[in-house]
Amino acid sequence: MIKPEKREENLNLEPSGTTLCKASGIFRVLRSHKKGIEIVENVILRTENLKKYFPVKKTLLRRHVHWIKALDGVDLELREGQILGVVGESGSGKTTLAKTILGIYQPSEGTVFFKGDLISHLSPKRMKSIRREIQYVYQNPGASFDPWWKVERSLGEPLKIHENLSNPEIEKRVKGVVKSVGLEQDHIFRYPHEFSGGQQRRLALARILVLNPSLIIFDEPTSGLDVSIQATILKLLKKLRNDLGLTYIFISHDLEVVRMMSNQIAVMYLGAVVEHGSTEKVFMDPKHPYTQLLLAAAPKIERPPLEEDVLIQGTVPDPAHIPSGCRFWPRCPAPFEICKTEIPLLKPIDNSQKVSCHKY
Amino acid sequence: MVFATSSTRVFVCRENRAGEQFLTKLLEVSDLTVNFNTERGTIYALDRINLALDTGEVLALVGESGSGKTTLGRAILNIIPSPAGEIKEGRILFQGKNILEMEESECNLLVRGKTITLIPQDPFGSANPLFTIGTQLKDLLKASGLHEKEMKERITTLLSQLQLPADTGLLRKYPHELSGGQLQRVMIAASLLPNPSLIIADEPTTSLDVTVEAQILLLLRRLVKERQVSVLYITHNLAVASQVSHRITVLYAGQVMESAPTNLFFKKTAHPYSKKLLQCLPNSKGEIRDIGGSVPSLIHPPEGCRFHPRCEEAHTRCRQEKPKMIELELGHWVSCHDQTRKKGREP
Repeated sequence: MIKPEKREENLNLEPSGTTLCKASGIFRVLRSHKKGIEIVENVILRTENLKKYFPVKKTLLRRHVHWIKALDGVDLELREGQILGVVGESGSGKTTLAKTILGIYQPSEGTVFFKGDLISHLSPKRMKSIRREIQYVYQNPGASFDPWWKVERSLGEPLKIHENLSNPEIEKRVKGVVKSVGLEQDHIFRYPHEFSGGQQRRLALARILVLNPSLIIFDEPTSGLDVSIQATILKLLKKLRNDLGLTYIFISHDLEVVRMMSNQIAVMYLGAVVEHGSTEKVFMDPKHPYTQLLLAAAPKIERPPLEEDVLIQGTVPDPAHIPSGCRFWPRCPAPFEICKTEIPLLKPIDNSQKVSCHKY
Repeated sequence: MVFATSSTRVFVCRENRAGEQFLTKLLEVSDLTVNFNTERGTIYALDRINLALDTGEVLALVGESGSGKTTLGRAILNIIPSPAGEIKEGRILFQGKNILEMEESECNLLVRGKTITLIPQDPFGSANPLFTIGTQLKDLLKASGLHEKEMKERITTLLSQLQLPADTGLLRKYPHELSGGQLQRVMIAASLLPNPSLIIADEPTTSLDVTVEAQILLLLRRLVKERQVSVLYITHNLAVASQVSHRITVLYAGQVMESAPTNLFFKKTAHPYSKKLLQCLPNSKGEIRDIGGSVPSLIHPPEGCRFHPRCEEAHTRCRQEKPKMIELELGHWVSCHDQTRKKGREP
């Protein structure tokens, strides 16, 4: 692997301003004789073999014991305007994936490309300008607001960091955004605790939208909300996406919500994507046994209660001790011998679905 | 199935021929009204709630936050925080005895944690972080006068029934060492240890993964079957309610809107609010529908039917008069003027 710094240098040499990683061969390129190299296809985000390992240190001397493999080789591709749903149980690495894409965590290995630029391993200063385009909505918006600040100040903060605006301009922009997420303009003079759970989520959304991002990552945007409020928030998210042409990554453990919202879906298990494809395809015809298990476990009104034999027992194994071979085999209803020794690759089944399972 | 309403009072104790009293219902709540007196004014949290629960029955209490689900659960254990909370009216008959009239000491000795137990919503907030699982479970059995060995045996059998192998040192672990699903199962074990007749489960799976949720729901169903224990299952998710319950009661702003056997509820949903709640669930068609508006402040609850400001079918009468509970079919009760009118037209 090329050292990150070196790679960055190489990229800076690109004359046209649009950078391109030739070695990885990710983007299909067109050569036009005047402009040089152009990137076609509106791929907004691409991760390649993304890995994030956390060291576990024990004893007095902080001796390094082993690694927790939170992300273990994730390849994803997201086109502009798409909504990618990421599902999986807790501990499957959904949040780590989001934070690594954002650069909050430095990847242990692998690369992240945003609009054709390499954004992993960037210096914090250069990362700042990219952060305004990729935004992250925290799981618990109530806790991510400063309780001592009025909402106006919290919402204006991103503008102060990223843009050089006068105070009246900031207020104008904040008021406009607050309106677009369905809150009243006077709401900005209140404190965060004066809002209900659903309203706090709207505020979190407003704080992000002031910067006009192009990619928003939602981490469990509706967990802990009532179904009725959940519906209102989802409706708002869809409307904003259509109005502003946003791209979403939608992390949730609620499969039905993801089904409703996304057009692409990635199913994660223990830090790896086990199935990836168009939402319709994956829901209608899930290939990986883990996806099948997840779909069977979700409660549904039309379906009679589950019986014992349908359910797979056990929970996600400790990510510090990932099973050998296919990471799902200890919970798999019908593992082969090969599953215990050999890691299955994420192979395309057809042009809209990929699965990592020895069955296919 | 008899459902108690204010108009048709059903008494729990009936006399058989020999003159002995016998129980028809395990739990019967009638006309329960709970207010909270706060600085901002009185919150009318529950307004004349009626419900009944048989032995071995699972009743799902469904509603949005602020509808009074948890308050009702607490009222049944008579642990509404006082002096702010006040039970204005009504009675809660449990095994023929009114819990609200019991002495504190009697209630502690016979009811709380003995015959009625609680599965909390947040297991991490409810388990003591300073003691091991084993110590906490044993504490529950201390009063029973069992020997150490017997206690341990009982705990391990129960834990293995809940698919928690105690031999892996689980009893020596502290709550933070367990996953959410494991700890929630320990809490279920804790609620089962005293052999209760009624378990109040307050959103026990809300914070859990779907796979763990499915396992816990399966477990609850099995326990109900094996032990004939009754469960009051509080949830905001109708899909979850459909998986565990025999009967569904929908609460809105402290009033019962509809109550029906689970099958009938989904087949013949009658109340506009229940219909809207069902629409809110994500569906495969990809369209999202919400109720519109928000739960009203219970300091100034709407006059008449409390749902009328958000109801599309509301008319003048809904704004003025609180609808009575009527029985549409056997066991299917609804409180809506529209349904009353339709019913009146039928011969």
